[in-house]
Amino acid sequence: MTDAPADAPVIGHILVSLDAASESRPAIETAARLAADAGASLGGLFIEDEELLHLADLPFTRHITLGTGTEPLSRHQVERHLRSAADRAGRELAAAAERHRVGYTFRVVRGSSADLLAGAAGHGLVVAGGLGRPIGRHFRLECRWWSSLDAAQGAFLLVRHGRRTQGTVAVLLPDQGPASARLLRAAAQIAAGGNRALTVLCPPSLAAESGLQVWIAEQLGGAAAAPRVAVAPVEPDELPARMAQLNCHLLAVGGLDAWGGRQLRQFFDRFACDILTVR
Amino acid sequence: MNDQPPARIAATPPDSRGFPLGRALPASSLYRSCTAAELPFELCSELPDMPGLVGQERATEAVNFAMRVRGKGYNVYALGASGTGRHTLIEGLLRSRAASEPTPPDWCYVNNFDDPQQPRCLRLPAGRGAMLAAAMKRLVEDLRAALPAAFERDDYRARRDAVEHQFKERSDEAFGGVQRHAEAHNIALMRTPTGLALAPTRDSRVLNPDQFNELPAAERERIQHEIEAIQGELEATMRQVPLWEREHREAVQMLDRETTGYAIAHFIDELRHDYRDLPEVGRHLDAVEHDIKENVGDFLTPPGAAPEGGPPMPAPVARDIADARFRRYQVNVIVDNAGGQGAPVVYEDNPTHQTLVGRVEHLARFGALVTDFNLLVGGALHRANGGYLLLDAEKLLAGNYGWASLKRALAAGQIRIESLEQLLSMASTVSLQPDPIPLEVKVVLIGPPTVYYLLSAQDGDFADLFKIAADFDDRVARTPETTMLYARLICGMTRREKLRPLDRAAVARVIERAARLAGDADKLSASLRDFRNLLHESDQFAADSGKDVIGAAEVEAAIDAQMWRADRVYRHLQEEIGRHTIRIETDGEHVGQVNGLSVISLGTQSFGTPTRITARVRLGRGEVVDIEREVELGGPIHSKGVLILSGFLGGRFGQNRPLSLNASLVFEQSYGGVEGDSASAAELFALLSALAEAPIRQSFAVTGSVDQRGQIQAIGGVNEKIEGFFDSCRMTGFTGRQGVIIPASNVRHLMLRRDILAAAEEGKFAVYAIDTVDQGLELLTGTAAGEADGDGNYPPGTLNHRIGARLDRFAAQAVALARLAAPAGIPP
Repeated sequence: MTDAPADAPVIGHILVSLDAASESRPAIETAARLAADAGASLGGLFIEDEELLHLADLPFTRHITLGTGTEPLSRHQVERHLRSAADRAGRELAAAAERHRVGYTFRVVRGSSADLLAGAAGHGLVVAGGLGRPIGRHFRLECRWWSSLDAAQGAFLLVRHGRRTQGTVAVLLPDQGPASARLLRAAAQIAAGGNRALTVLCPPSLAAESGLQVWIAEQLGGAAAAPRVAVAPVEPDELPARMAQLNCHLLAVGGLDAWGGRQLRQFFDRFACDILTVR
Repeated sequence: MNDQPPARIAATPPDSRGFPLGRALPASSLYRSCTAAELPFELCSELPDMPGLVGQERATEAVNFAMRVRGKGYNVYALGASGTGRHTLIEGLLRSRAASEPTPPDWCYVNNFDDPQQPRCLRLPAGRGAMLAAAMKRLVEDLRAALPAAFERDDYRARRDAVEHQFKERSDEAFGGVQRHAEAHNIALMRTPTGLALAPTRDSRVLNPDQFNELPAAERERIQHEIEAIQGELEATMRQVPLWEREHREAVQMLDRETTGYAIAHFIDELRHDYRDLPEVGRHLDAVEHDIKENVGDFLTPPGAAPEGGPPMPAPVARDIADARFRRYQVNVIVDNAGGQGAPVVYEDNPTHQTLVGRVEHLARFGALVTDFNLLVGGALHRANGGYLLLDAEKLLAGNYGWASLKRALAAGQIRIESLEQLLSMASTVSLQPDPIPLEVKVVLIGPPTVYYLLSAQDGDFADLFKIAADFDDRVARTPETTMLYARLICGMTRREKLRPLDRAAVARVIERAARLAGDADKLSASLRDFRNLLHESDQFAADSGKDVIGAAEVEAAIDAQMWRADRVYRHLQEEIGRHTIRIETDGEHVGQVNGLSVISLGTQSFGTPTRITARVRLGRGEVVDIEREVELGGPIHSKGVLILSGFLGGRFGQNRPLSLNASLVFEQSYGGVEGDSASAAELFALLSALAEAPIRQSFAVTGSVDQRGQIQAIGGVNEKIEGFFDSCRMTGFTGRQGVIIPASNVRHLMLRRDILAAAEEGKFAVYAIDTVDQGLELLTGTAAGEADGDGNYPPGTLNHRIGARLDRFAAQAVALARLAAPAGIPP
């Protein structure tokens, strides 16, 4: 046995990132619950997308809605809608914080989501809604947070649904590097908070390493129940079947560069699972 | 003025009825005992029960006939005095017949899925209503487990995913095409707070106005055109969205219907099979199946589930909401004849609109009153449908619209449950209008004759709806046969009421009491209530004495106790007579004064009391003044009696002379109303005494009415009147000369108290029967009345002669006065 890592716990602060284009309620609910489970502080950040304002400043801009068809889009209109969306997000955050009995802060900033997230990362866990707000029932534009995955530093959780589920937390562990250690600790902390089982999936080569179990135990420091360690499918296409088998509702993905964004979105859509990444 | 010696009274021959007129009746005429020969048993427990009632053949046959006739309106009104056993008899007759009739069907209300405000009724064979209700409850429970399981199965999920995928693909393809087209021209498709917009980009970032304005004009124009073109595409795609959504909804609904139909098919089919003989139930099951398919979501939401994103609900609220979702599949059995043996016989003690035709109840839910078909409650008409319903007429008429609702249901031949507010058009809120239920019932109203006659006269519907009158007699002829039947009736009553048996003497005493209650030695009272009370009280006296058998002494004690409990006012009156506060003379003689007798009724008790009646005569114009009438204390029948006296005087004494007299009659010390003509004979005696100036013996009291020919007629309450004077004499002291003069036609009514019989046997008190005024006059004055000869003249010395002479003197005085007054112009 080795000593517990010096930088545990990973999740000391949770920042929920909000904007007018994505589903905010699941993110807020998840962030508040995780804050309560982990005893972490909770902050809300509503980002007024500056690109929308740029768009509204263009003289020929129209927007098309289901209810009214095509109509001009003015800056004034956009600002009013953004304020309204920010107010609503603030109210929802307040209500969720009260339900889970945690304190919170909330602020509204204007800028680019990628830039702002890059600046905000490293303080713990960033939680954001993984779904854009739909047009009609089925069509959603991909929300901006997916493009922020690349820019985000530290732990980033994209949430699909806010309700507590009973599925497992699966960690795709690429190696025993520092990022993997942080990923493992964050996933273990989330699993422990929700009393969910933790499964570590490793490539065959890593699984064959004799010190893996010891290393995992060292990272978790005895704070969580020992995870189940299994070999990840060699072929990426086999992974969905394995996730279904595990009833995975949160997938912690390490070695992000090895996974294409398309594949992560597929997991997100097909299994309705949340995605946790750590850089 | 008496100018002749009194004429002697001729001996009176015995009356053809077996008793002497004008002489004291023998004690045997004062009471008709029940003889041992009439009651050939030692203890009444030796006798079998009496089926039905004694002497009510007319009423019994009427009820039996009404039960046989199936035509509309052959309902029964059983009229008779309270306590005559009408209810017991009728219920017994109905139950006896109902037992051999078929058990009527069950009636249920179920939801009308087309219009829940108009619940449907289902008719099922007896006992199967509750079975259907249980089966439907089980069905819902089964489906609450089976349907979620069906929708959790992989095959449903796969098909649902396929539907979702199909429509997502369609959306993605259409919007994706627009998006790709836009991106190819460096234009981004952006989500605005309320829709979609297109923005020019450079390096994947939206150009701000400055950057855009820095572009060459041609480029700006190109971008603008591109955006407008793509916008058109986007707009066209957006217009498709509602159609896709509708198609999606329909596809999901179809899938859900198919899944539901498959999941519930065998449950519903099983029910259909069980009720294949009842097409109405089959149709209802079709409607249920259709509704479940359309509303399968109700079965898929777990109980207590909060709306998405909302806080969890308290368990009772969640349970309430969950239960409410499935109420529409329940079956409300409002008439359950399971286990019924024959047709129902229902007695409704409180017949009002609601208790007869049923009611619509409400539940308080979240501050509002709500209702549905499950809250329909049947009434007595529902329970009695196919059988018999007994109601008390007085309660029915006093209850809230009970009579109107009953008539309406009988006339329409159906029961319609509606609230009183609806009936009276007082409420405008939407409420239930359930299907009416066909009504086939025989109603028996039990009530007093007065109500029957009032309804017959005042209610136009009554004759059509209650065609049979069952008329119960309050008295039964007293014959050896009926006496024996009464003994059996008493015996049955003691068995049913678990009382001690009566010995023969006790039974005899009860039967004699029945005759007294009937007020007739030849009749027996039909009041079973009085019997029952007397038996219970006698039984208590037997218990107090530690006896196993009720004897005559216990019955006598019970009768005495009954009278003693009720005679406080009577005793006070008698006491005041004894103290001469009320002046009644029971000895001596007076001109123009006689003891009359009246009956006072207080509650259930009646008693007789003497009243001094006085008459004064003077010169006048032939008027007899009834002072009671003048002060409006005399009733019309009493006034009629007094006017008859004038008729008698005119007929007997006014043929040859003018009746130049004025007479006044008064009930002395009477301060209440006087009604009836039973004192008219006494008034006539007082008047004739005054005219003849012949004193009347005050040791007599007189009762009886008189006609214009001077014949004495029967009156009521003869026993109470005799007893009243007897008690007064006891208070003032017996002299051996006291007695009561009664009409001869009342002798058969005599059932006097034992103490009076004893006094009569000892010669201390007597009862005299008379048929004519003259017989009474002779008894009261001790002077012969006299019979008129062919010219209408009476023998000198007789009372009638003295009266004629007095009238002649009045006439002569009147003529003399007229002559004196004529010269002075004074009208005669």
